[in-house]
Amino acid sequence: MSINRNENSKLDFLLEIGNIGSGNALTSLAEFIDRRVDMKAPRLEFVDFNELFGSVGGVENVVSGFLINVHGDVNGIMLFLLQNELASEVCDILLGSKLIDLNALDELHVSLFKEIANIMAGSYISALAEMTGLKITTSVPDLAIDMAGAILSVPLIHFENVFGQILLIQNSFSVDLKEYNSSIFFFLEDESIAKLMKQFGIE
Amino acid sequence: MITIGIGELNVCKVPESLVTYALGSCVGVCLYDSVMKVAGLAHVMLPQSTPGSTSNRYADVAVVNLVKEMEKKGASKLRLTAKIAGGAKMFESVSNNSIGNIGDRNVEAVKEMLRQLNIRIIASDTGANYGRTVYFYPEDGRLEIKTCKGVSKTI
Repeated sequence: MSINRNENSKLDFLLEIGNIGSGNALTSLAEFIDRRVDMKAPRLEFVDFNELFGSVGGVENVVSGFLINVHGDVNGIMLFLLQNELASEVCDILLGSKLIDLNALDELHVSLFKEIANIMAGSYISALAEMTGLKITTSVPDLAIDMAGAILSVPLIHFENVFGQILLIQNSFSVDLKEYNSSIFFFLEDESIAKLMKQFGIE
Repeated sequence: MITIGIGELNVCKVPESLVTYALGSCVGVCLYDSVMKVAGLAHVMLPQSTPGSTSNRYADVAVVNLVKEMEKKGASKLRLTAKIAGGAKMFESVSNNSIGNIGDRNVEAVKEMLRQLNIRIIASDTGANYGRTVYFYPEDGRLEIKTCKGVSKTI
């Protein structure tokens, strides 16, 4: 795909959005679990579905997926994918016991995970809202534990449905310098991207 | 083993076989000619194409194209039978918009296309809230379904 100058400034802008939002979300995570969390260089692109899955450990890799609807002046879908090992590590840190089987989550685990996702999404979005003065709200996180491909296809399908082309902002991160192949995705509607850019003074 | 990506389709004969991974709300449409031993599989993403679209992401386009590809491999449309899998609702509470019920809509769209083409559905495993990987074999038309929830079966 050829990208003109306008497209380029849009891409730069979205990378920055991802950095600011994910930076804040991961700071919240680090505080919550009291561990060092580092963000990797962000990835931003027009998605080819069938190549995307490598970055989440493979299409059949079982992960925890948290889906958060973003509403208000900005509309989109946020998705956190947490690797099994990271979810287990988080349980160990906060509850004192490792999680062996993600399919055996009890209510305590589910509400704990949802709370973490809630805090991360809240930090991401409130950072954007504060910088832009826009009103943006997040839904309660919804959790699915399943194959990464099946989870990621949900926002992909939604946006393909509406717009025909998907722009994705992905931030991967590590915990205590260990790579977990976990990511924060933010899928934004075109109109919302334009609105954000305007608020930042980029036309 | 031939891998079919999201929104793609393919057909094969023995000794090849077909696989598509991690169907969530997408639907795997499997067609089979038991005489010619030709198998075909489409990984459908969305129910309805926009006018003029030729993408196999859409149920209405993909099912028609899959039948054409089967015929090129020697299958007879009159003998085709179908098995379908997928169409899950991955996120329980997301039901206030089109994402919520897209799985159901995909399944309905596939069924409607098959009905229009007079292709009988002889087995299906659709709905629920988990992803499915499916393997489809031309020697006997069996469809193996694997999930990460310990629910695996052959239909």
